[in-house]
Amino acid sequence: MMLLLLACTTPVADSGSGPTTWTSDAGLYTVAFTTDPDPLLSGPAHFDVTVEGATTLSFSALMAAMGHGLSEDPVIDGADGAWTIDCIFPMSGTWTLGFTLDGEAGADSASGDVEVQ
Amino acid sequence: MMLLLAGHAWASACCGTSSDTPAVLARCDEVGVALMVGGSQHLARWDDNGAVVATSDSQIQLTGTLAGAARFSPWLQASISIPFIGTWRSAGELETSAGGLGDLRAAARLQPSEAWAHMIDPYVEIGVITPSGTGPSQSDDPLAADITGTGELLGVAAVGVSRTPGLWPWHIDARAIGAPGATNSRVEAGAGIGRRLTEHWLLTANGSFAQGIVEPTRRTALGLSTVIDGGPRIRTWAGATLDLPVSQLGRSLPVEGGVSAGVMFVR
Repeated sequence: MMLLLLACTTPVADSGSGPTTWTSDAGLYTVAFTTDPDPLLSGPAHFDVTVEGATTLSFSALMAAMGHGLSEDPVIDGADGAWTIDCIFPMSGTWTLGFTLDGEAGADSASGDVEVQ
Repeated sequence: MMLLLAGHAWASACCGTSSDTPAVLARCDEVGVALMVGGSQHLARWDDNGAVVATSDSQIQLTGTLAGAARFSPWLQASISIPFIGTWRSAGELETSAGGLGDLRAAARLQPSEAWAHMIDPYVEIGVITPSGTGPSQSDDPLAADITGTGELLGVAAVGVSRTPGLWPWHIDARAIGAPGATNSRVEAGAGIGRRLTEHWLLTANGSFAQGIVEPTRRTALGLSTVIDGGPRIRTWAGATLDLPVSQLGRSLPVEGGVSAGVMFVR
Protein backbone atom coordinates (compact mmCIF):
# COMPACT_ATOMS: atom_id res chain seq x y z
CA MET A 1 0.00 0.00 0.00
CA MET A 2 1.24 3.44 -0.83
CA LEU A 3 1.99 6.13 1.61
CA LEU A 4 -0.45 8.77 2.57
CA LEU A 5 0.61 11.08 5.25
CA LEU A 6 -0.85 14.34 4.19
CA ALA A 7 -2.86 16.74 6.25
CA CYS A 8 -6.62 16.30 6.22
CA THR A 9 -7.36 19.90 5.43
CA THR A 10 -9.27 19.40 2.23
CA PRO A 11 -13.04 19.61 2.44
CA VAL A 12 -15.03 16.42 2.48
CA ALA A 13 -15.78 15.40 -1.08
CA ASP A 14 -19.20 16.05 -2.47
CA SER A 15 -21.11 12.93 -3.36
CA GLY A 16 -23.58 12.30 -6.09
CA SER A 17 -22.68 15.37 -8.14
CA GLY A 18 -20.40 14.00 -10.86
CA PRO A 19 -16.65 13.57 -10.62
CA THR A 20 -14.89 14.83 -7.51
CA THR A 21 -11.80 16.88 -8.36
CA TRP A 22 -8.82 17.59 -6.18
CA THR A 23 -5.81 19.70 -7.13
CA SER A 24 -2.45 18.24 -6.13
CA ASP A 25 -0.42 19.97 -3.43
CA ALA A 26 1.99 21.70 -5.82
CA GLY A 27 -0.71 22.30 -8.38
CA LEU A 28 0.85 20.03 -10.99
CA TYR A 29 -2.15 17.75 -11.48
CA THR A 30 -5.90 17.64 -11.12
CA VAL A 31 -7.28 14.34 -9.87
CA ALA A 32 -10.85 13.57 -10.96
CA PHE A 33 -12.65 10.50 -9.71
CA THR A 34 -16.03 8.88 -9.49
CA THR A 35 -16.99 6.10 -7.10
CA ASP A 36 -19.25 3.11 -7.10
CA PRO A 37 -21.22 3.10 -4.90
CA ASP A 38 -21.86 6.82 -4.78
CA PRO A 39 -22.00 7.88 -2.01
CA LEU A 40 -19.42 5.47 -0.65
CA LEU A 41 -20.55 2.75 1.74
CA SER A 42 -18.67 0.33 3.96
CA GLY A 43 -17.44 -2.66 2.00
CA PRO A 44 -16.17 -2.93 -1.58
CA ALA A 45 -15.69 0.28 -3.54
CA HIS A 46 -14.63 1.02 -7.10
CA PHE A 47 -12.93 4.22 -8.22
CA ASP A 48 -12.49 5.53 -11.78
CA VAL A 49 -9.66 8.03 -11.66
CA THR A 50 -8.34 10.35 -14.33
CA VAL A 51 -5.28 12.56 -13.94
CA GLU A 52 -4.20 14.35 -17.08
CA GLY A 53 -0.44 14.28 -17.56
CA ALA A 54 0.28 11.68 -14.88
CA THR A 55 1.96 8.41 -15.80
CA THR A 56 1.99 6.63 -12.44
CA LEU A 57 -0.45 6.66 -9.56
CA SER A 58 -0.53 5.09 -6.15
CA PHE A 59 -3.41 5.22 -3.67
CA SER A 60 -3.91 5.01 0.05
CA ALA A 61 -6.72 5.47 2.55
CA LEU A 62 -6.51 6.31 6.22
CA MET A 63 -9.18 6.56 8.91
CA ALA A 64 -7.46 8.92 11.30
CA ALA A 65 -10.05 8.73 14.08
CA MET A 66 -9.55 4.99 14.34
CA GLY A 67 -5.85 5.07 13.58
CA HIS A 68 -5.86 2.63 10.73
CA GLY A 69 -6.01 2.23 6.99
CA LEU A 70 -7.30 -0.42 4.65
CA SER A 71 -6.77 -3.97 5.83
CA GLU A 72 -6.20 -5.20 2.29
CA ASP A 73 -4.08 -3.48 -0.33
CA PRO A 74 -6.13 -1.71 -3.01
CA VAL A 75 -6.03 -3.15 -6.52
CA ILE A 76 -4.91 -0.47 -8.99
CA ASP A 77 -5.18 -0.98 -12.73
CA GLY A 78 -4.46 1.35 -15.66
CA ALA A 79 -1.76 3.76 -16.77
CA ASP A 80 -1.10 7.12 -18.38
CA GLY A 81 -3.86 9.22 -16.97
CA ALA A 82 -6.65 6.70 -16.37
CA TRP A 83 -6.88 4.18 -13.57
CA THR A 84 -9.36 2.03 -11.76
CA ILE A 85 -8.99 1.32 -8.06
CA ASP A 86 -10.82 -1.41 -6.15
CA CYS A 87 -10.66 -1.45 -2.37
CA ILE A 88 -12.68 -2.39 0.69
CA PHE A 89 -13.58 0.20 3.33
CA PRO A 90 -13.78 -1.72 6.61
CA MET A 91 -16.08 0.75 8.32
CA SER A 92 -18.12 3.91 8.03
CA GLY A 93 -16.64 7.26 8.84
CA THR A 94 -14.36 9.92 7.43
CA TRP A 95 -11.50 8.51 5.37
CA THR A 96 -8.57 10.49 4.04
CA LEU A 97 -7.66 9.37 0.54
CA GLY A 98 -4.24 10.02 -0.93
CA PHE A 99 -3.07 9.91 -4.52
CA THR A 100 0.67 9.93 -5.16
CA LEU A 101 1.39 10.96 -8.72
CA ASP A 102 4.27 11.19 -11.14
CA GLY A 103 4.56 12.32 -14.74
CA GLU A 104 6.34 14.74 -17.02
CA ALA A 105 5.46 17.63 -14.73
CA GLY A 106 7.12 15.90 -11.80
CA ALA A 107 6.09 14.13 -8.61
CA ASP A 108 3.17 15.44 -6.58
CA SER A 109 0.38 14.22 -4.39
CA ALA A 110 -3.25 15.03 -3.69
CA SER A 111 -5.40 14.17 -0.71
CA GLY A 112 -8.77 14.85 0.75
CA ASP A 113 -11.50 13.48 2.94
CA VAL A 114 -14.46 11.39 1.86
CA GLU A 115 -17.39 10.26 3.94
CA VAL A 116 -18.05 6.53 3.90
CA GLN A 117 -21.67 6.30 4.97
CA MET B 1 -19.39 -7.72 52.88
CA MET B 2 -19.49 -4.42 51.11
CA LEU B 3 -20.92 -4.29 47.67
CA LEU B 4 -18.80 -2.58 45.10
CA LEU B 5 -20.15 -0.25 42.51
CA ALA B 6 -19.88 -1.49 38.98
CA GLY B 7 -17.67 0.61 36.78
CA HIS B 8 -17.37 1.10 33.08
CA ALA B 9 -14.34 0.99 30.86
CA TRP B 10 -13.75 1.82 27.26
CA ALA B 11 -11.72 -0.81 25.45
CA SER B 12 -10.42 1.21 22.57
CA ALA B 13 -11.48 3.69 20.00
CA CYS B 14 -11.66 1.01 17.39
CA CYS B 15 -13.22 -1.72 19.44
CA GLY B 16 -15.66 0.76 20.86
CA THR B 17 -17.49 0.28 24.11
CA SER B 18 -16.57 -2.96 25.73
CA SER B 19 -18.41 -2.97 28.99
CA ASP B 20 -16.31 -4.64 31.60
CA THR B 21 -16.34 -4.24 35.30
CA PRO B 22 -12.87 -4.03 36.75
CA ALA B 23 -11.97 -6.55 39.39
CA VAL B 24 -11.75 -4.37 42.44
CA LEU B 25 -11.43 -5.82 45.90
CA ALA B 26 -13.42 -4.55 48.82
CA ARG B 27 -11.36 -3.57 51.83
CA CYS B 28 -12.09 -6.88 53.52
CA ASP B 29 -11.03 -9.00 50.49
CA GLU B 30 -7.51 -10.41 50.09
CA VAL B 31 -7.66 -11.96 46.63
CA GLY B 32 -10.24 -12.32 43.90
CA VAL B 33 -10.72 -13.98 40.54
CA ALA B 34 -13.36 -12.72 38.15
CA LEU B 35 -14.89 -13.90 34.91
CA MET B 36 -16.77 -11.36 32.84
CA VAL B 37 -18.69 -11.66 29.60
CA GLY B 38 -20.16 -8.93 27.49
CA GLY B 39 -21.64 -8.13 24.15
CA SER B 40 -22.10 -4.93 22.19
CA GLN B 41 -23.62 -3.85 18.92
CA HIS B 42 -23.21 -0.85 16.66
CA LEU B 43 -26.45 1.10 16.45
CA ALA B 44 -25.36 4.18 14.50
CA ARG B 45 -22.36 6.47 14.54
CA TRP B 46 -21.31 9.99 15.34
CA ASP B 47 -19.75 11.65 12.32
CA ASP B 48 -16.86 14.12 12.39
CA ASN B 49 -19.28 16.96 13.11
CA GLY B 50 -20.83 15.15 16.04
CA ALA B 51 -24.09 14.38 14.27
CA VAL B 52 -25.70 10.98 14.76
CA VAL B 53 -25.96 9.27 11.37
CA ALA B 54 -26.77 5.80 10.12
CA THR B 55 -23.96 3.40 9.43
CA SER B 56 -23.74 1.07 6.46
CA ASP B 57 -21.88 -1.62 8.36
CA SER B 58 -22.94 -3.86 11.22
CA GLN B 59 -20.91 -5.10 14.14
CA ILE B 60 -21.55 -7.42 17.04
CA GLN B 61 -18.72 -7.95 19.48
CA LEU B 62 -18.45 -10.48 22.31
CA THR B 63 -15.89 -10.13 25.05
CA GLY B 64 -14.81 -12.55 27.75
CA THR B 65 -12.41 -11.31 30.38
CA LEU B 66 -10.52 -13.20 33.04
CA ALA B 67 -9.31 -10.97 35.83
CA GLY B 68 -7.53 -11.35 39.11
CA ALA B 69 -6.77 -9.04 41.98
CA ALA B 70 -4.72 -9.28 45.14
CA ARG B 71 -4.43 -7.05 48.17
CA PHE B 72 -0.93 -6.49 49.48
CA SER B 73 -1.80 -4.15 52.30
CA PRO B 74 -4.86 -2.29 53.58
CA TRP B 75 -4.02 0.52 51.16
CA LEU B 76 -2.63 -1.30 48.11
CA GLN B 77 -4.18 -3.77 45.70
CA ALA B 78 -3.18 -4.82 42.20
CA SER B 79 -5.16 -6.34 39.38
CA ILE B 80 -4.69 -7.82 35.95
CA SER B 81 -7.29 -8.49 33.31
CA ILE B 82 -7.01 -10.66 30.21
CA PRO B 83 -9.70 -10.04 27.60
CA PHE B 84 -10.66 -12.24 24.67
CA ILE B 85 -12.62 -10.51 21.94
CA GLY B 86 -14.67 -11.95 19.09
CA THR B 87 -16.16 -9.71 16.43
CA TRP B 88 -18.66 -10.26 13.63
CA ARG B 89 -18.86 -7.55 10.99
CA SER B 90 -20.78 -7.11 7.79
CA ALA B 91 -20.78 -4.47 5.08
CA GLY B 92 -22.63 -4.83 1.82
CA GLU B 93 -22.31 -8.45 0.74
CA LEU B 94 -19.20 -8.98 2.84
CA GLU B 95 -19.41 -10.71 6.20
CA THR B 96 -16.44 -11.63 8.35
CA SER B 97 -15.71 -12.72 11.88
CA ALA B 98 -12.51 -13.04 13.84
CA GLY B 99 -11.19 -12.76 17.34
CA GLY B 100 -8.44 -13.41 19.77
CA LEU B 101 -6.57 -12.07 22.74
CA GLY B 102 -7.19 -8.41 23.51
CA ASP B 103 -5.02 -5.88 25.31
CA LEU B 104 -3.90 -6.97 28.77
CA ARG B 105 -4.39 -4.47 31.56
CA ALA B 106 -2.56 -4.27 34.83
CA ALA B 107 -3.15 -1.74 37.56
CA ALA B 108 -2.21 -0.87 41.09
CA ARG B 109 -4.78 0.89 43.25
CA LEU B 110 -3.87 2.94 46.27
CA GLN B 111 -6.55 3.62 48.85
CA PRO B 112 -4.78 6.05 51.13
CA SER B 113 -6.91 6.01 54.23
CA GLU B 114 -8.76 3.10 55.69
CA ALA B 115 -10.00 5.41 58.39
CA TRP B 116 -12.16 7.26 55.88
CA ALA B 117 -13.67 4.14 54.34
CA HIS B 118 -16.87 4.36 56.35
CA MET B 119 -17.45 7.85 54.98
CA ILE B 120 -15.76 8.27 51.63
CA ASP B 121 -13.11 6.09 50.07
CA PRO B 122 -10.69 7.88 47.75
CA TYR B 123 -8.30 6.02 45.49
CA VAL B 124 -5.50 6.61 43.05
CA GLU B 125 -4.80 4.08 40.32
CA ILE B 126 -1.77 3.66 38.10
CA GLY B 127 -1.85 1.12 35.32
CA VAL B 128 -0.79 0.03 31.90
CA ILE B 129 -2.58 -1.33 28.84
CA THR B 130 -0.30 -3.54 26.80
CA PRO B 131 -0.67 -4.01 23.03
CA SER B 132 -1.14 -7.76 23.28
CA GLY B 133 -4.18 -7.69 21.01
CA THR B 134 -4.26 -7.31 17.26
CA GLY B 135 -3.87 -3.62 16.53
CA PRO B 136 -5.34 -1.79 13.56
CA SER B 137 -2.05 -1.84 11.66
CA GLN B 138 -1.84 -5.63 12.09
CA SER B 139 -5.32 -6.31 10.75
CA ASP B 140 -5.59 -8.41 7.61
CA ASP B 141 -9.34 -8.93 7.74
CA PRO B 142 -11.10 -6.96 4.97
CA LEU B 143 -13.61 -5.53 7.44
CA ALA B 144 -11.12 -5.29 10.31
CA ALA B 145 -13.02 -7.84 12.41
CA ASP B 146 -9.72 -9.18 13.70
CA ILE B 147 -8.84 -5.98 15.58
CA THR B 148 -8.80 -6.82 19.29
CA GLY B 149 -6.67 -4.00 20.65
CA THR B 150 -5.27 -0.56 20.16
CA GLY B 151 -1.80 -1.61 19.06
CA GLU B 152 -0.42 0.94 21.48
CA LEU B 153 1.22 0.74 24.89
CA LEU B 154 -0.84 3.07 27.06
CA GLY B 155 -0.42 4.32 30.57
CA VAL B 156 -3.39 4.84 32.86
CA ALA B 157 -3.68 7.28 35.74
CA ALA B 158 -6.95 7.55 37.61
CA VAL B 159 -8.40 9.16 40.69
CA GLY B 160 -11.74 8.55 42.23
CA VAL B 161 -13.81 8.65 45.32
CA SER B 162 -16.68 6.49 46.36
CA ARG B 163 -19.01 5.97 49.23
CA THR B 164 -20.01 2.36 49.61
CA PRO B 165 -21.98 2.08 52.87
CA GLY B 166 -25.48 3.38 53.24
CA LEU B 167 -28.64 3.33 51.21
CA TRP B 168 -27.32 5.49 48.37
CA PRO B 169 -23.76 4.52 47.44
CA TRP B 170 -22.06 6.66 44.82
CA HIS B 171 -18.79 7.07 42.98
CA ILE B 172 -16.99 9.67 40.90
CA ASP B 173 -13.83 8.99 38.96
CA ALA B 174 -11.60 10.46 36.30
CA ARG B 175 -8.76 8.94 34.37
CA ALA B 176 -6.21 9.77 31.73
CA ILE B 177 -5.16 7.07 29.31
CA GLY B 178 -2.43 7.53 26.80
CA ALA B 179 1.15 7.80 25.69
CA PRO B 180 3.01 10.43 23.69
CA GLY B 181 1.45 10.55 20.24
CA ALA B 182 -0.82 7.58 20.86
CA THR B 183 -4.00 7.72 18.77
CA ASN B 184 -6.04 6.31 21.62
CA SER B 185 -4.95 8.85 24.22
CA ARG B 186 -8.00 10.17 26.00
CA VAL B 187 -9.48 11.42 29.21
CA GLU B 188 -12.49 9.82 30.81
CA ALA B 189 -14.85 10.75 33.59
CA GLY B 190 -17.57 8.74 35.19
CA ALA B 191 -20.05 8.90 37.99
CA GLY B 192 -22.73 6.70 39.39
CA ILE B 193 -25.27 6.54 42.12
CA GLY B 194 -26.79 3.40 43.50
CA ARG B 195 -29.74 2.35 45.54
CA ARG B 196 -29.34 -0.51 47.92
CA LEU B 197 -32.45 -2.60 47.48
CA THR B 198 -31.49 -5.14 50.13
CA GLU B 199 -28.39 -5.70 52.21
CA HIS B 200 -26.91 -7.76 49.37
CA TRP B 201 -28.47 -6.20 46.28
CA LEU B 202 -27.45 -2.91 44.76
CA LEU B 203 -28.77 -1.14 41.67
CA THR B 204 -26.60 1.57 40.14
CA ALA B 205 -27.06 4.14 37.39
CA ASN B 206 -23.79 5.21 35.72
CA GLY B 207 -22.76 7.90 33.33
CA SER B 208 -19.47 8.21 31.51
CA PHE B 209 -17.78 10.61 29.14
CA ALA B 210 -14.61 10.13 27.12
CA GLN B 211 -12.76 12.65 25.00
CA GLY B 212 -9.87 11.84 22.69
CA ILE B 213 -6.72 13.92 23.02
CA VAL B 214 -4.84 13.23 19.79
CA GLU B 215 -7.94 12.54 17.70
CA PRO B 216 -11.08 14.56 18.52
CA THR B 217 -13.20 11.52 19.31
CA ARG B 218 -15.89 11.74 21.95
CA ARG B 219 -18.37 9.39 23.57
CA THR B 220 -21.07 9.77 26.21
CA ALA B 221 -22.78 6.75 27.67
CA LEU B 222 -25.29 5.84 30.32
CA GLY B 223 -25.49 2.53 32.08
CA LEU B 224 -27.51 0.58 34.56
CA SER B 225 -26.01 -2.21 36.59
CA THR B 226 -26.84 -4.41 39.48
CA VAL B 227 -24.52 -6.11 41.93
CA ILE B 228 -25.60 -9.02 44.08
CA ASP B 229 -23.59 -10.59 46.85
CA GLY B 230 -23.97 -14.32 46.42
CA GLY B 231 -22.48 -15.03 49.82
CA PRO B 232 -19.33 -14.07 51.64
CA ARG B 233 -17.10 -15.23 48.78
CA ILE B 234 -19.13 -14.64 45.62
CA ARG B 235 -20.10 -11.39 44.01
CA THR B 236 -22.10 -11.22 40.79
CA TRP B 237 -23.12 -8.33 38.61
CA ALA B 238 -24.84 -7.52 35.36
CA GLY B 239 -25.29 -4.33 33.47
CA ALA B 240 -26.23 -2.57 30.28
CA THR B 241 -24.70 0.50 28.67
CA LEU B 242 -25.89 2.69 25.88
CA ASP B 243 -23.98 5.40 24.06
CA LEU B 244 -26.36 8.31 24.02
CA PRO B 245 -27.45 8.80 20.40
CA VAL B 246 -27.57 12.57 20.71
CA SER B 247 -25.71 14.97 18.46
CA GLN B 248 -22.55 16.52 19.95
CA LEU B 249 -22.43 13.97 22.78
CA GLY B 250 -20.07 11.95 20.60
CA ARG B 251 -17.80 12.38 17.66
CA SER B 252 -16.13 10.10 15.09
CA LEU B 253 -17.10 6.92 16.92
CA PRO B 254 -19.80 4.27 16.66
CA VAL B 255 -22.90 4.58 18.80
CA GLU B 256 -23.11 1.30 20.67
CA GLY B 257 -25.28 -0.57 23.07
CA GLY B 258 -23.95 -3.34 25.23
CA VAL B 259 -24.66 -5.75 28.04
CA SER B 260 -22.27 -7.45 30.43
CA ALA B 261 -22.26 -9.81 33.36
CA GLY B 262 -19.64 -11.15 35.68
CA VAL B 263 -18.89 -13.21 38.71
CA MET B 264 -16.05 -12.72 41.15
CA PHE B 265 -14.82 -15.14 43.75
CA VAL B 266 -13.07 -13.50 46.67
CA ARG B 267 -11.27 -14.60 49.77
